[in-house]
Amino acid sequence: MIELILFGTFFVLLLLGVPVAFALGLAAVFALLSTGGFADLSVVPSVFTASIASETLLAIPFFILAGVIMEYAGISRRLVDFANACVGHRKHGLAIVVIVAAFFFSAISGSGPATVAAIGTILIPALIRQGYTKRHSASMVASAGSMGIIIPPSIAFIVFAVVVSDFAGVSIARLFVAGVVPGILLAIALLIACFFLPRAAPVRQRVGALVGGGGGQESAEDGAEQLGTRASWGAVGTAFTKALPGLLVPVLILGGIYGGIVTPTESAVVAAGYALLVGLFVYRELRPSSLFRVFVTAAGQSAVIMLIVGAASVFAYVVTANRIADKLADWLLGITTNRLLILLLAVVLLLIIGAFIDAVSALYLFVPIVAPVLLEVGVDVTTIGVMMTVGLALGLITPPVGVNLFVAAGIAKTSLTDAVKGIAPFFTAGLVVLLLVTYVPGISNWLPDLFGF
Amino acid sequence: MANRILSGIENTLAALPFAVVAAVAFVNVISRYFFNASLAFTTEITVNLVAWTVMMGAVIGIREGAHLGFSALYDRMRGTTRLVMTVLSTAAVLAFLAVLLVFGIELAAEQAQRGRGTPAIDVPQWLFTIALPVGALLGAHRAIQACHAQLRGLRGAGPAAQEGAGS
Amino acid sequence: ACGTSEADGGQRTYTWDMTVTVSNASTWYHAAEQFADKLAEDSNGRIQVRLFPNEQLSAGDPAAGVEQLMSGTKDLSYNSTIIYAGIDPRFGAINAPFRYTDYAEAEAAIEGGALDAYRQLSAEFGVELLGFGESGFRQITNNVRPIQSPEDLAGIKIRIPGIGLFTDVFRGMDANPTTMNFAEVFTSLQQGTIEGQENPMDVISSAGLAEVQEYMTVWNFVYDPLILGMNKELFDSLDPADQQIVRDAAAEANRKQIRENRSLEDSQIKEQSKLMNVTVLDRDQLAEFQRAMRPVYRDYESVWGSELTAAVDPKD
Ligand code: NA
Ligand code: NA
Repeated sequence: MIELILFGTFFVLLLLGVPVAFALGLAAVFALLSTGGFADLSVVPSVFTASIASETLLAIPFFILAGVIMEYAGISRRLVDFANACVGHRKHGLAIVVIVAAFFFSAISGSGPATVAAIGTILIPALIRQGYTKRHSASMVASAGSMGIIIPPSIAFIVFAVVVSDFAGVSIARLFVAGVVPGILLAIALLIACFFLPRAAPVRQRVGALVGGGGGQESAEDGAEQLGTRASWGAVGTAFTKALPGLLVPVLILGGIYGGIVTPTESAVVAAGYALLVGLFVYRELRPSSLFRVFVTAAGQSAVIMLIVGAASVFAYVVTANRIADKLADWLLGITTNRLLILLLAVVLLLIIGAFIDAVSALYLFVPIVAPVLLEVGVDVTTIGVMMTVGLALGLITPPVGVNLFVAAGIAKTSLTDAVKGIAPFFTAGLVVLLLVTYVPGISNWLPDLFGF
Repeated sequence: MANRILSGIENTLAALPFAVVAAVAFVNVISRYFFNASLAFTTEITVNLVAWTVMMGAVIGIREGAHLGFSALYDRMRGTTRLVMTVLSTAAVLAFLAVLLVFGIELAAEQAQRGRGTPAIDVPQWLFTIALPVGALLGAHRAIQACHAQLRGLRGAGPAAQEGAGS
Repeated sequence: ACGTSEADGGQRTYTWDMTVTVSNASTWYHAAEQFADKLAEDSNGRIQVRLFPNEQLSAGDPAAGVEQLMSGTKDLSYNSTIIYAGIDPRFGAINAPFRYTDYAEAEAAIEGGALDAYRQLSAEFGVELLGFGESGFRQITNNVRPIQSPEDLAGIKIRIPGIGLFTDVFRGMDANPTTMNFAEVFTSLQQGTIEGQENPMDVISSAGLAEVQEYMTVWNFVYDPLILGMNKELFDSLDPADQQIVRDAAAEANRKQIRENRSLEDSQIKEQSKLMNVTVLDRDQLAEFQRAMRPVYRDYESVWGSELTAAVDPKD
């Protein structure tokens, strides 16, 4: 009954066109009213604030801020120009840049949406300029950003290790190393998907105008502007020099983390501070007077995601408090005892969960239910961790609640409905990788075993 | 005019806490690494101020129609159906904001009464919690405004004007 | 929230929600399970408790969870006094650094008045205190040197929970305390962003910190009791017989939890000794740390209040 109220209200509101955050929140409110009455609504602000004021999620606004500053400072535009100069003339050259850049940023960010925010503001406008549809540009970057929680560092692996420790011990370090090969596989799979995308002729338009940020005046004369033809070596060199301060950002972030100077969350702030300095004093495109605008923009972009996180937590509260997850798992996993079938059911379950709930909440809710069953039929804990993380990474791009897709659609300035239409090739690619890591334990275990973790 | 002043207030309440959060986190890294001295209170300040940025950013999101949802069905509808959908979905947004408003005030009042402060530097917790009711109130105002504009567009113009309303 | 209804013969039936901060493999959760079973048994099934690990009812935030208990949107919980101190600092009196050198000393103080003082204090906030469990003593790990005296902490970058008292204590010993999300602690220790951290034995062990830490010191830094709390309004609404059922079940659960925690701690210290260089401080060494704490104690007595400070004092 409560399941019907919760999910029924949610879907009706969604169909009405109510924004996802409010649909999640109000569905939870109706469910709470139906079980405990008016007084039970006290949990709404309590759970809402607790979830948005969370240390694990700070990385999201920070990476969004860094992205917005890089955009206003002109760093993003010069990176795109350089990428164009190098591979822009190739068919799907920029798609390669997207996957590689996402891979790179995934190695410095532990969260999916943060990765999308970091590379999306730079690359989505460029993709559109190169003739990809908005929906494919948004869904490509959203999918690439799901590598953010597979390639270490990963918030999802940390949470998994903590929650699964009730049933089996596995170190965070082992999970991190285990994520590398599946991450590479996903990158390759996404790249292949890119090659099947339709593309219109490149549109000649300044990136600055599309990005909507400050500056962009000199872009018209950049060597990389001439799309479709190969840039001369000289033009490539010029583009490289201009882009160098931007190219140093990942070096700074990686160096900061692996050099023991900053945590991954802090690295985003350092990147923002560095971008600020470059914008103010090197490129001089960022004026102190536009700083206010920068923070307003970043606050708005962060809030759209964080509001969903907050409302989803209230929704998750109802799911938890009424043991809806248990019922769902009992039903699905009670169907068979065959190991291969149980794995398949777990995959289906993961995809369903991932469609509705963000990765971290989903791990807290479902690891305790799914992990013991899988362990019992002989699946190793590393494989379970990788499989869940890859499954929930796919959840980042599946509607109705696909945070990566939300961020990407926002940057592409397109509707969620439109962005959803573009995910099919990438979802298929991801599904292949998910099935591979699910049924071939060696993919996850080989590297950590090799290094003795 | 009043609208522009209000926008200014909303923008400031979103941007200022964000700037403080970023600055505090940045200074902490610098001071820990170069001076081997940390600002031990950074986490509680950054984590809690984010509540203000999120709530006021959410208001900006309503103001600018940036919140994401499924518009497929809405986009196909015309006339009365669309009008009803507009009103209903605004009502849904208002209903959730009302819960945040009423029970946010209740939570803030309880925290003030218990004297809960942040653990390290004892800033009253309710100062962060009231971001919820304040944001809900301002958000409700913007939601009604947006609904009003949409309804006017529906009555006054054909499909072309309707397209613009959703984005 | 709780559900109530009339059963046959006028006796009421209840369904209560209870949370613990940590996982369902913890001694806390095991004890909560036993508490729930005993309640069901002694009430002939009239009282059912639904258990939730990992602060699942407050998005993982324990302070918000305690607030829910106080306001009655939740019925029961096991929460550390450190979390309660986030609501009112007086709850932190018993967590003062090096307050007790061992469990015997802590127990004597609890029996000798601390428990009663905490029961009164909890009541002020709408919580019926059904006794103490324990998270045990907090211990310290680091990568710089074995810590045997307060001077050994000088200059070490150490992650602490964001509590004013902890900051002042570590600053007082010339360490460089910093607050950080626990999820980032492992990687940060590995990369050297921070050099040490302190936590209860169970956390150190289950987070696998030995992989990235060289030295551990068993210094019984902070004694950390768990309040088994029930919403007071709910408790007061029970008839006396049911109140007794609750009290008995709680007492048994607390005894079990404390017993289990201590035996687990023993085995974990043995186990970690194989993975890290472990130093166990003797009474003289501990006395040195206690001396170093005197200025901090002077500053905090006004925060804890004279009543609580006197109540938690070691009785020897
Ligand atoms: Na990552
Ligand atoms: Na999803």
